[in-house]
Amino acid sequence: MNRSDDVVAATLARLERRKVLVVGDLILDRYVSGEVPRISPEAPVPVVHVRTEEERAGGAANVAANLASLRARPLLAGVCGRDAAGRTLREKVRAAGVPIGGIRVDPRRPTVEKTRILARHQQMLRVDREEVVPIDGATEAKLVAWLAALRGQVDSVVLSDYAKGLLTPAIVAAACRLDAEVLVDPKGRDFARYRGAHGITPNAAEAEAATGCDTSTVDGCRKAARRLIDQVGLRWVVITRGPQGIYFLTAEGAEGDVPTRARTVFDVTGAGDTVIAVLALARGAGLPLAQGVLLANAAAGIVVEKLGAATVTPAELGSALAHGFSTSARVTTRKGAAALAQRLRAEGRRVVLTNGCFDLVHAGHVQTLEFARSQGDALLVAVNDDASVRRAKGEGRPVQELAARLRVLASLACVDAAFPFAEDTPDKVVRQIAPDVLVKGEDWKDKGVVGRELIEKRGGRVVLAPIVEGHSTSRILERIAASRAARDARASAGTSP
Amino acid sequence: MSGLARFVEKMAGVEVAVVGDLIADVYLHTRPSRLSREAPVLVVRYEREEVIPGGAANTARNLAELGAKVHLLAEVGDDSTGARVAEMLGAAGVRTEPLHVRGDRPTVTKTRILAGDPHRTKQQLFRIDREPPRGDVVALDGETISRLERVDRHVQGFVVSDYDYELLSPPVIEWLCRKAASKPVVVDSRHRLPSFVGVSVITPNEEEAEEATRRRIDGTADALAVGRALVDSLRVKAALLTRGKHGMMLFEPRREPLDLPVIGSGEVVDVSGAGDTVVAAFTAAWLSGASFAEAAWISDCAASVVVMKVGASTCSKAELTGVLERAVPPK
Repeated sequence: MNRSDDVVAATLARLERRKVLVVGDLILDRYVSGEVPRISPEAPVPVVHVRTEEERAGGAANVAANLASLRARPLLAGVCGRDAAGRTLREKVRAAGVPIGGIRVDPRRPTVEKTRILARHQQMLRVDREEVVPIDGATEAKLVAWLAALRGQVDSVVLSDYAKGLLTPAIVAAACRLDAEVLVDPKGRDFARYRGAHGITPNAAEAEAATGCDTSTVDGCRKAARRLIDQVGLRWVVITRGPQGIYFLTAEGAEGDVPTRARTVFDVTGAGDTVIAVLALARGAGLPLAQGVLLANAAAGIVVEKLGAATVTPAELGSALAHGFSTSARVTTRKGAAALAQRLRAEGRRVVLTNGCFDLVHAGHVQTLEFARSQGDALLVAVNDDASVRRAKGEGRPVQELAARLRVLASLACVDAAFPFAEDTPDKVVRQIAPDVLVKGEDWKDKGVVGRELIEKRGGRVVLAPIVEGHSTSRILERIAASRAARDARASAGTSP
Repeated sequence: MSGLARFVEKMAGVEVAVVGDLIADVYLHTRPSRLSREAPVLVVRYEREEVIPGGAANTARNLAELGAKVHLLAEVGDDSTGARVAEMLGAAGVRTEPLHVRGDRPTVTKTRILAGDPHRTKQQLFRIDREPPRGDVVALDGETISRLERVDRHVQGFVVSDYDYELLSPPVIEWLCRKAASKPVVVDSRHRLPSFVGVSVITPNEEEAEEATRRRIDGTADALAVGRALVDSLRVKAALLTRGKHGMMLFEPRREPLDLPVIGSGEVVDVSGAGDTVVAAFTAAWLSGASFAEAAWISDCAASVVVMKVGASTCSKAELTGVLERAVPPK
């Protein structure tokens, strides 16, 4: 372990088990996806046949989930309705490792729900269920009392505002009386309602709307941040600028502009939740703002490279900090791949699966994998484990053991996840992942692709990738053997008298 | 045919089982709000949700509304929609003990998303269907048949409401066809009419009759030919062919077909669910002692009530009696 590893490990150790309170609007995000096989006989409208339905805890609950994933001890305060959606929301929050004791049931309002209807991987409609009114007095009083009991017990506080009515002046004031730094992920134009909080993390558009300053330049960000610090009485402002990175300014005038670390941005959904979670953790641990921003930036770089509203683990963050960006997070288990596929499908993305040994990755492999990726929105690669490679290719194979083969595949830009499987045929893997597209080499044309029926029954398809002649691991090995034999022959010829 | 209202009074003494596919018809009322930031699509704001028991559940509700004692033998998923429909059926007086809650399939649900500003007619945007994937859900023949045998002890007859889902599997259909030798079995089947050989009565609409006989109906002559063909091939005691704006026709072996007109002003608002009302009223009347011809006229009257209402709905005893007193039956 070198010195920089030591520093990273020490920094991450400081973040662990910090108690962070998240107060804000809870949302149940629902994804209903299916196919549109016909037009309704009742009216000239499409009929969506539902295939999958998925629910996720969103809004402030997603910030808390990010904290739980980072091995902090999150607390969550908010309201949901006395309805089925509220029950589901609490179940999802608990499943993410977040205690639900601070979620109050308000029988007079429905749980905020956002339902996306997706068909053929495209969003068609969103149905929002909400009643945007400030929470009622009794619920507010109970929450204020619950918050007051936490005084002196939390390391930092996040106010996660989605403008659904939770963050009333009394709630904001109660959160600001906890003797901990209060960070705000704001909504709307009027940030004065967050007075009493210490830091705020608007994105560039929100900062621009609130201050009227053009935030496309660093100068503009500086002006906007200064204005917010003065007007709202803040200690610091962090402006997230999407692909341009993160800008920050403190009341004392310390500033920085950190470029984004993500190489490929897959999905920015939830990146703001990750940023404020990591910042709150860093500030709760007493780290300087600049260091918190660096950590948050690294974490955001990891989540935007993952598909779907995602979270970050301490291991991923550590790896990203120590070695720059690492693709090791794309190596997963079979279960992990199945869960990822399900999540992607729920969001309406087309999942592509291919499989193989990938012993010595060559240009032919890369060509096939790039082709496979072009057939959908995400490519999952099932890799034969060592025993199954041996059965298929004979003793002496694989040349590289499973972990190495997975790691190499995960580093390719076209691969979204690589995972092992142990059987001789990918039948069960295909069943588990249920891809929209299964890609095989063209040499499978007449051999009967395992799993074809299963995929086609579900409306997916099998695609044969064009083969590049002259590339194969076996050929490479033969050539190595041949060149060694030739060298040995030369060597023995040379020593002959 | 006079004094037919007396049969409506007798319907309270009828006890039947409805066997078949339950469908939850859901109407989601929304208001258009804005364009989404996530994708270039409309965001609508939820206002309220209406759940209406449809399919076999609507037939059962229609029977209950006419005063009959009804047992509903159908399947629902272990979900909130299924629970809500069961509760509504219970409140409507339908006996739901034979209802089978299955954890391995969703309740068949057809959700219409309606959108429109307040005080304007809402327009349908999408229909969202939830149903068990065809072939993936196993029909529980043994379970269904033992439920049928249990309910058989109480009832005078069966109404089959077949929307082509998995409950009515071949062994269950066979049980029902055999049962028709000893008890009335009235069948309303969407796509499988030819499977119900030897049942007592069938009540197809023109489309279903066309599919079953593979003959097109284009005018009265075709309708007569198709109706006769059905009576012969399925060996039923009666076939009631419902013909939309052309009324209905009753066929019995060795009898002249009876052609019944549409009753009322013809201000048809919504025909969905009218078939359920027809089979319910016909069965209740027949089991109350009416002849097939009288039962057909009574069901024609009931249909005239229900097509004037929006959404799959029912015709009450009082409404039916009212129409029967006013309408003039053909000679």
